[in-house]
Amino acid sequence: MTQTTAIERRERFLTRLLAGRKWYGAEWYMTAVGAVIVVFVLGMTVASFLTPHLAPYDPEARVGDPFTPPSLRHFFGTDQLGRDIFSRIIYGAQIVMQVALLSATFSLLVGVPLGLVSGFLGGRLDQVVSLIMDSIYSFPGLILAIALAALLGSGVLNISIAIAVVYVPIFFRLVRGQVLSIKQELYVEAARSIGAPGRVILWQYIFPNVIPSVVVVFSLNIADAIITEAGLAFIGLGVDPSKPDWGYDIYRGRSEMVGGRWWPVTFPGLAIAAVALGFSLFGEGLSEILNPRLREL
Amino acid sequence: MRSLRAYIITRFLLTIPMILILLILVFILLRIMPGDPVRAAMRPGVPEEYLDQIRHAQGLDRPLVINLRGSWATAAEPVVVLYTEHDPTSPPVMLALEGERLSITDRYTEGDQDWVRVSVEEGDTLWVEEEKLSWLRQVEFHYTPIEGETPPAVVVGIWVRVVLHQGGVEGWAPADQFHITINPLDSQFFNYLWGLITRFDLGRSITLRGRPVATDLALKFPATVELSIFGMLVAGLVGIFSGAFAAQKRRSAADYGLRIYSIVAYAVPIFWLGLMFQLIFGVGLGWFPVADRVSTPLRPDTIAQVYGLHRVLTGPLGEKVLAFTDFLSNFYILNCLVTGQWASLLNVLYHLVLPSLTLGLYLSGIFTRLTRANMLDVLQQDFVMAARARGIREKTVVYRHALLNAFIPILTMFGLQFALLLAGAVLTETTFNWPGMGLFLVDRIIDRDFPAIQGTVVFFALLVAGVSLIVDIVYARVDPRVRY
Repeated sequence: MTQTTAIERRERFLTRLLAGRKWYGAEWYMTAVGAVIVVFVLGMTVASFLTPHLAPYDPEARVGDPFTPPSLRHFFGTDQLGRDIFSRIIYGAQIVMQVALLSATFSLLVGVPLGLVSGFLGGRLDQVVSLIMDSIYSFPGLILAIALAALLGSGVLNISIAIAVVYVPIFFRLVRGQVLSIKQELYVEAARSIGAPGRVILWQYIFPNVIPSVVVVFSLNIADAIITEAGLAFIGLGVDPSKPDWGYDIYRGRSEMVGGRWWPVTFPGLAIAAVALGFSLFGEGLSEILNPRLREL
Repeated sequence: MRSLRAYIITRFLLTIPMILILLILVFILLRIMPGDPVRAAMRPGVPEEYLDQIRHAQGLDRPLVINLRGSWATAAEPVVVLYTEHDPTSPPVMLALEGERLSITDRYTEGDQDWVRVSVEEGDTLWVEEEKLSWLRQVEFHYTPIEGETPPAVVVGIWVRVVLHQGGVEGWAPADQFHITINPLDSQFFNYLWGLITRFDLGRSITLRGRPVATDLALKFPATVELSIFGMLVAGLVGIFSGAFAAQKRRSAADYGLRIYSIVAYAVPIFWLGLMFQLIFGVGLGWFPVADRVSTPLRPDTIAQVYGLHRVLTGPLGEKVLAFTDFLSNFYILNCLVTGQWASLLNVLYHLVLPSLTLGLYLSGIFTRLTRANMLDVLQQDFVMAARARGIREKTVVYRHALLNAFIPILTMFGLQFALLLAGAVLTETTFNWPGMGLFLVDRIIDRDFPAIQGTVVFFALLVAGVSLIVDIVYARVDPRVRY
């Protein structure tokens, strides 16, 4: 990446934008839009833990007639038990975000060290670990998560673990691949030739270079985990049926859809899509900013 | 250069450890579960005898990996009395006569005590205590009494000689009254592996009364395949053309628009997309059906029914052919085309519209991306420049010369997305009540029927491994550069 000041960059972007159809700098927009959504959702989740007054109504109480269509009193209408859907969406972020963050963190904590060590040491160990990881990777992730969630049962921790197992190989493969290529770099060779121990090379020379792409994949993984959690809840493998949960609310609203009651399924789904989109945009945009080679394409 | 055959063999051999690891993983996962899978699938209050029968039928009474306690017990004394507990004062259950072979389900060793618990199999003949028999009748124990045999005089009690048709009964006896056959491989793990390899045995369901999972999957398989093919078709059409277009107009507003589309398509939960389609086109406009594969009155007749194959195909071989045509008949579209049931065909296609659109649009985002990336590669190659230099129109260069050349890698990428397709199919089937393998899996999960879940997951694993093997071989066949 060439060193440019922010002003120069903006100028260049504007001239290009005005000059023709070519769109440069879109990755910055993607990242920014994604970051706004991410910060908003995370802020909302934290706030919803801290105060019971974030939403207009109690998300778990009957506050109106069942199936009131969206109105000014209930922005997104009420569900089959007369609970306010808008409030449920605000508080539903808790479960989704807990599961998404926990599971992505779990897979990162397992996948990254494993990939670092396996790629760095190589040999028989690397072969065995890679084979296991590739086997899991080749398997349909959602189906594995479904089976695991069915086994482990409900609860934030269990569902997070079920989802995390699916994404460990993604971190592993990413990190291992990068370690393999970084190992060949001249500066690693130099460090080795002046007698730096393997531990130092791995943590001080290789690890820092892996971080950027891990951040990108972490963000994309959260998006994936949000959708997977919703999918699990939709087939009845939810975290906690008594708590507001977007996927589970869709599952319940689904049976009432026939009468044209569109609001109990539509709004939680929009929430899932918006949040997943936010994390995806953030991750995608970031990956292009961090990886200039991709931008040349 | 190495031959194609060498490549195929190597690729095939590499698939084996992968499948083995998956099988082991699935096995470990389903066994570390806390609690008893049989009890989990049954209502509370089911008699212990019935649970024992199911455990025995499922093979869950074997040790996990290595069986050192013995797998068969042959009675070594003229009459062996089997008790309810490992205690000679507990009530007797049945008698084993010398030479009768029973299967060992448990062993109790403490101090100088050594007892085995044995079970009779379906088809065995046995002496049962009358009182016990009247109790067993209530737990799916089906038998025919044999008249006119006198029980061995050594034991007191009223004994009935019966032939067992269904169910089973277990009892304890001291181990020294039997010759015990030890087969270390008669364990849950090796039985599962061996059954899978030799008989394609995917296990039996608990809640569907011991029905083989493979039977059910064979019934559901065609529905999933039909949905997947049409989903792929939608995804392919949308993905390839939008991807090629994006590559052609690289870095234009349209390119970024399509990139955003591909991200959005992936971020939208597939089941929610399906529900939105149902709301708009089903509930709202009433254009398309929202559930099932076909309207019941129009369910296509099987191929055998249409051509009257029942009369022609008889005997054991005929039965097999008939079963196969029934399997094929469940591919409704194929069936309707072959037998000319046009009204049914239309109805089936009509039912396919919304589910395949849902699955297809979900996958199309990724296909757009893959096509775009591959097209960008191809567009940089010399032959494209040469084509342009010859003055061929840009459209022809992109959509004929480049796209056709990008097709092979694109097709392989489609193959690689097969796992994603299956995952998407599970949720699509749930949303549209589509009677395929995904819905079967979800139903089994709701029933907490773990052996059936295991069988289904294993089948999915085999399917994915098989498809990726085939895709790689086809790719190697088409592209001679691919060799080990």
